[in-house]
Amino acid sequence: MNREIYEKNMEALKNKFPMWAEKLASVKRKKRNFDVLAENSYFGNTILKVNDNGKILYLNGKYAPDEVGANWIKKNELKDYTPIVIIGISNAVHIKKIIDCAPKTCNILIYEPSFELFRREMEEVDLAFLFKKDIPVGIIVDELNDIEIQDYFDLFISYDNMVLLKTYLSGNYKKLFPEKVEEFVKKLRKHVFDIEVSWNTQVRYTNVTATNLFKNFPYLCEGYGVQELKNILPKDFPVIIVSAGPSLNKNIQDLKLAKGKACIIATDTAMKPLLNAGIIPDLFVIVDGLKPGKLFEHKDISKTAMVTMTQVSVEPMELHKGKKFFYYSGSKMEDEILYELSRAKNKDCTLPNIPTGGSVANTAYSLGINMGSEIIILIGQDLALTGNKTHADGTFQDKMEEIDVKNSDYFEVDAVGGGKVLTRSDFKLYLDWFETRIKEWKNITTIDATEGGALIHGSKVMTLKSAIKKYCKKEFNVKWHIDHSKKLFDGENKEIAVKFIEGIPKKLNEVEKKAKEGLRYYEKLESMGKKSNINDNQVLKLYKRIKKINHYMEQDYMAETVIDSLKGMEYSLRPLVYQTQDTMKDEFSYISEQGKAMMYGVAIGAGEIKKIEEETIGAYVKKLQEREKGKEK
Amino acid sequence: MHELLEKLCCNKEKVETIIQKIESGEIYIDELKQYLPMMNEIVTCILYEAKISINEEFLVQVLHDLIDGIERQDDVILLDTLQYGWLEILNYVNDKLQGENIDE
Repeated sequence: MNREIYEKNMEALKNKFPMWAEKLASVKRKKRNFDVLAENSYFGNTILKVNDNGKILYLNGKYAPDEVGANWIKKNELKDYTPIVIIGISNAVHIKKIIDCAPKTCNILIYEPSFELFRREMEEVDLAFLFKKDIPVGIIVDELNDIEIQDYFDLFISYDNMVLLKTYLSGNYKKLFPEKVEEFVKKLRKHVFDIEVSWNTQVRYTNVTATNLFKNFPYLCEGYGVQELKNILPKDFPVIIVSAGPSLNKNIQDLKLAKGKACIIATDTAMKPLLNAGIIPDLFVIVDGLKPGKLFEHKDISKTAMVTMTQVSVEPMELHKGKKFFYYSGSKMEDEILYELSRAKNKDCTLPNIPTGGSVANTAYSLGINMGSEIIILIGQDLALTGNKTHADGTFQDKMEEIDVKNSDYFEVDAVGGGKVLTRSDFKLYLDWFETRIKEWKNITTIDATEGGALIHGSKVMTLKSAIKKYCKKEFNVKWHIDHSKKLFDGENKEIAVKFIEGIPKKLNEVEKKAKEGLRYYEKLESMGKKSNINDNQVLKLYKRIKKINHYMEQDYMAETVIDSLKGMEYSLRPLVYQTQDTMKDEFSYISEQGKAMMYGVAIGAGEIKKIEEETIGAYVKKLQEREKGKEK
Repeated sequence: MHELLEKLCCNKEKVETIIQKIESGEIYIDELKQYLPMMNEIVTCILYEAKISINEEFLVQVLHDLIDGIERQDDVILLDTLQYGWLEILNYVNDKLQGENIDE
């Protein structure tokens, strides 16, 4: 051990991460058959080598250990706001070089996959610079804070900067710690993929976001919050989630054996096959903003309460006349009206979020657990192309067609009962979500009674008949609890909804006005940039005004609602936000163009939404007021 | 002399190819092992034909590290030794011989 270096490092570590310093100081035994040795390179730098069960690998070269980092920097253009992920601290020379060369706006995330190696690095290599308080560096060390990996990803890598992402893999780390490195890289890839999927989803629904929200808002005012269903079920009372996979055709009739002895929650697409089979579920869930109405065209559709949100497609909401329980949609307008309700009732009335992996079955699964059950039985959850079909008969078509699986969109996964089955990437996403939840939510027993499809690792596989025999033993009246739920805006609280909605046209006018004001400021900025002499004071004044407008756009609920309906534009503009220009004039021009585009979009968007408002919630409030007048007469 | 310069050039090209493969994560070890006889030949030429002064200790160290790296299949040592050890020697000898050529 180099005592001087160790003490310097520990002093710096104590200041930044006192718990880490405590843990390091208390470690007495090193890992067996794993040695880290420090040597000098031929030119005097400290280099490290690892003896792992007799296999020796160097972490740094002997001739020019500093050059690897320097070469990486030459090959990778480090622009402003580039997130840099480094796997392996090693002798930290490369990290120091990257910190010195990268723009100060870059965030650097370092992952050390071995606690033992970190311990020895602290003893041999000067790492004090890593623990300074004012540097944009995040550190994850295995066995110290590896549970924070996702938190760091969320903090460092976003939609705006992910296209700039750079990664550095330190020498021999992949050979020494193959599983840890692979797992970390897999998590990093998933994080980037999830960001992309999330944005793609938002953009996909952008055209219908505002329409759906405004058309469905009256249902929220007449509806129930999903918190009314929280913990209504005993822990040992099972929930059966019915999805519309092709295997549902096999065992749908067996579900009748469970009626009254399990809470049956259907996904939206499974409703028609269930109703056609004479089975009325207790609840059904809908999440999609573009689901076609024909999936809900059935005389009995309203007999089952719907679990929904304000941004789902309008047709099913209109066709269904029964009770509607709402969960959190992310809409700021919805948040605002519920904050007002919370203030009036002096209790939290905001809608709870239901964790989901993107599919309605994921949401239904979370709902079942939220309702209190610790036994979840899945049926129709193929997550694969069973019989080359994507869904059960009686859903999108009476007889679903077979898919041509010869193209590269389909790949193999483990099948229920052994062997392999074909699936596609969206099904795999949902499958991974189930498997992760099963690992995390250890108190929940998940039974896969699909009798086909992809194997959900961690679930208990059995037939539906066996699952019902084993788990559906006692009776419980779910319907009574659903029937006795309280509305969100009950009694005099309806007035809060009315007053809120009456104020919306004024809010939309305000947003339109602010956007036009912002547009004028950006136009002014653009013309200032074209002048040969730029007056700094004037520019500063203008920037302050622009900043105020942008702050309003970020904070005001109606401004955010309008901007949500412009996700396609934001999707294109946001990754460009960190691009810097060569000259000041170019910078002015670039900022002005971006700003003008956004403000123009918001102004137009606010105008369009005013029309939607009149036809939807405006008309709803007028009807309510006429009804009240009628009562008074 | 000319022949030696040509051999040096071939050696450099070969080594640069292997270095590129290591950097890009491609499989290189068989190609490196196949290069060893060629390397052996040029070492002999450097020591007995070139008639230039060379740090023999450094040369021996480089060769030792290369063999050690090949035995342990250590990418870090091999990349570093090839790029900043062996290639440096080849460039040094080449420059020295080119310099002498001009003088002549």
